[in-house]
Amino acid sequence: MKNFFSKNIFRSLYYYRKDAVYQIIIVAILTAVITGSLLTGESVRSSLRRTANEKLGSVDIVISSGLRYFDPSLAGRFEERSGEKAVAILEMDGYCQDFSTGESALNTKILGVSEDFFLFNAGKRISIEPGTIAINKRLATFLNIKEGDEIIVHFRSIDPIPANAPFAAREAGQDTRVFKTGIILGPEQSGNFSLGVSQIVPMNIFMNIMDFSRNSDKKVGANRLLIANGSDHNMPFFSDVLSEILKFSDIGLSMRRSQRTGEPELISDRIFIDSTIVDAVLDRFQSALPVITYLANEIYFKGRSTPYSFISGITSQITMGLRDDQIIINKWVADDLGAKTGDSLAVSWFVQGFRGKLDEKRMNLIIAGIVDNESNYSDPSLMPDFPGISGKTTCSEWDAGIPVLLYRIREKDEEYWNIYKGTPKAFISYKSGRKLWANNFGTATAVRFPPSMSLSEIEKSFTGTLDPETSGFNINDIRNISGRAAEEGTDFGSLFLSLSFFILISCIVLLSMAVSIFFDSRKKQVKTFFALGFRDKDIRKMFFTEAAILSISGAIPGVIIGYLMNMLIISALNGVWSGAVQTDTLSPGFNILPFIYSFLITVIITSILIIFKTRSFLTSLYKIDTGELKVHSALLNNLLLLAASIAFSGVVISALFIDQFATVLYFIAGILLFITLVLLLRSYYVKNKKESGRGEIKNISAFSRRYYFFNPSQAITPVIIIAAGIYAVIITSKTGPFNS
Amino acid sequence: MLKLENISKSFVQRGTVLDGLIFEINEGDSVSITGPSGSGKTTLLNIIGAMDLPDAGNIIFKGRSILKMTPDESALYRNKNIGFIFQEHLLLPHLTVKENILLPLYAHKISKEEFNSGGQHAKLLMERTGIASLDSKYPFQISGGEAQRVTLVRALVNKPDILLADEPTGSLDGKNADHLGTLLSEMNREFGITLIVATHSSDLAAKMNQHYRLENGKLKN
Repeated sequence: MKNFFSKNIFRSLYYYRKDAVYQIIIVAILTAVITGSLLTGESVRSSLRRTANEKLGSVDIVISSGLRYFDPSLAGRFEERSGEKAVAILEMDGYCQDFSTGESALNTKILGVSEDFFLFNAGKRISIEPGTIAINKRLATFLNIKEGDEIIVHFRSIDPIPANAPFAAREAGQDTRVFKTGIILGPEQSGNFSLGVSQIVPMNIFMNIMDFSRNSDKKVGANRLLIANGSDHNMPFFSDVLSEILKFSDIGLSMRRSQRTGEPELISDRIFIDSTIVDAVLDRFQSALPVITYLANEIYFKGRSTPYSFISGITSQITMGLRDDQIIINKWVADDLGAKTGDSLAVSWFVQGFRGKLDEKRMNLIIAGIVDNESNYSDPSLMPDFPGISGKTTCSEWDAGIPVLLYRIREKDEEYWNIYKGTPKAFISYKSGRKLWANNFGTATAVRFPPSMSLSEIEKSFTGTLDPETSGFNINDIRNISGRAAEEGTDFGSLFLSLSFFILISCIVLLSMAVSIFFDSRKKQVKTFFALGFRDKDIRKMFFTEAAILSISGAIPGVIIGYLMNMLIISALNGVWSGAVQTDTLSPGFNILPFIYSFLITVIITSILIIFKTRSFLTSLYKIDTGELKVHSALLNNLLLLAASIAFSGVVISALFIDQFATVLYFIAGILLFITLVLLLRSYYVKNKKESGRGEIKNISAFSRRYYFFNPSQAITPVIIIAAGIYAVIITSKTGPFNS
Repeated sequence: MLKLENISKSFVQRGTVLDGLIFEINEGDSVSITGPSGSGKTTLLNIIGAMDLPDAGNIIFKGRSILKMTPDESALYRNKNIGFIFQEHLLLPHLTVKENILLPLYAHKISKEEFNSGGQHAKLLMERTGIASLDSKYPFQISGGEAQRVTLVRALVNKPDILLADEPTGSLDGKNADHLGTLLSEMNREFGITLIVATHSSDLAAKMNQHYRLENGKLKN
């Protein structure tokens, strides 16, 4: 019997091969769409994973100092202490131009590296000679640059003082240099190195880190410490190691001794010392005293004014007990203004406002005392090292980051500068100074210690106790972050499946119709088997096997076509749709799982369809000879319509009140509305009982109604297909990847 | 052998076609049922052959109600006890004449001996009906009359108790119709097969022993 079944099935398939081919084609399209979509999702994910790994190279952990710079020697100390490979680099944004064509590449990453970087990241020592740069292939292609061509590189000058900090020198903005292109680096040479989580392949310029400074004696700081986590340490380990090795100099702090008072003082190359550090120092040394010195635009008294004077907020004998509205001035100012103790003078100064805008503040203060010009408070080191001010021979050379009105600087002011340099001309309490001048960058310009303490003693006491986080360091598991970003990006598998919704629905409807046609052409065959006494289940088995063979025959080429479709989509995503993924480095991945999933999905869908069709077909066999046509129940249709309407209303109301699931609920509501409308349309065709009679057909409309009364599904199917098509068009135009 | 008790059957659009029909047939009888189109002849044959169910009444075959059979028992009843001939020959186009004839032997599991015996019987019938030379031909390679004779042989291959023929000569020309009618009555006589023929043809009806007319849902002599 088994032999007969197989022979009958294969002979039958061959005999009805024309119908079989339709079914195979439809199943192949269905499988191809599912396979193509799933493979595209997998390809995009694996490409992004590959790109992320390619960009990171050997870097697992990155310690960033943000806008601060640290001594690159930190990498050596870190490596020694942790046992993990580490390298320091300088990373910043910039842009560049082809020297010969003037064509620009914006959003370029400028990376200051030593040859250790390439050894660390690509396992190969690549040396960038001073005066030359290496660029990655993407940038070379973008600007059409060859080795030996010259490039103008624009980058931010290395300045420990952030550009938006008070008194940041204006001249310390952009630096522009011309470099010769030494090497063009491929991805395998770390050319695409990036610490960003974006999938975009960056345009990179690698500079010898020494080239960032025009002064060859000045050491260039780094701002990223790259670490390979070979031993799979946890994050606290890196924080602990950094804390153990961190020194004052790593975070831009240094110690010096006041020549006037002999007091050791802690100062910052950023002018201001972070409040967390100030607080930590004051906690550790009860005898330490903070200082905040600021540049006043003017000290004004009764029509006379002294321009551009430093005022210090200090805690000392002379400021002890000073109220917030009191000030001590030195004799030079008192003479200049003709002011005496008890007089009220006005002080004005600039503060950084929104987006770097300078706002001038003014305050009236009562003179609480006058100190001698040569007193211990006449200490030029109270003025921090403002880069645009310190070391200038005249006031008119100042680049203080604020508008300096040169006409206001008198000869006597130049004389004061010559004799006393930045010695503050007035003093207020530190508490008051902190209130007026503390900012995001810090709450003190110095912390002073008793003269008896040694500089090394103070510095040593802090080694191993500085908290990296409060010192401005961020430690990130960059590999994990990048990997997650690659995984959590847009799921292109689901996206393309949604966009292919129309094709999928159409394929399923067409497959249903093809199976029906296939079975219809076999009605006589089924009737024969039935009449000859074949059992229902054997007949079903034969037909199911036939249809299943066709499904599998369609699914096999379908997955192959799906793979080709995936290649086509990936090629489009790298080309005309490149905006969707923001990268052009996608490659068609090969993973067996999408093949298996799509194959199984198709076989399951078609099997369910075939089982359903086979059963309904065999059941309907009883009706063949009688000429009876199925009369569809209008009551049942209306009950379903009512249920769908109620469900739709319920879901819409729920969506209005449950914000958390609103999107999903509206999606379900959309489906229910669609079902409701389809049932409403169906009710039009099945409602008229008279149509079941054999009355006279008066016109073509009545003829159609009569036909669709018995075959409502044939009226509904085109509506469903058109609706699915409109859905596909709308969703593609509104949310598709092509809408970029 | 077969007894129909108060069989009724109606359809939504056609109304009542069988109305408390009573009918009894004994082994070896040959019966013709005539009647206008739509009078319910095919429905009656389908009900006897367990291809359709009546709305009411009972059908007793050899003392057992066929309405109480499970679907598998029903299939076995059709296979072993009933032979069908329809107006259309209903031969499977992708199988040869011989394969078509042997089809009923594949419907249920049987021993090799039974299968061989069935094959021998088929061969005998094919020679008897003059289609022995057609065994390797496909249905589209033979004539309508030959096809109906193949159908007849296929219906008889399992040596059924009853042969149900629904307009067997309806699609044949006069000569072939006469030949088939003669064969049917000969099979009835030679093999003792009970024969129920629904037909419009008075010639074919005349070849049967008993004659019934189906009118208003009832059989009349």
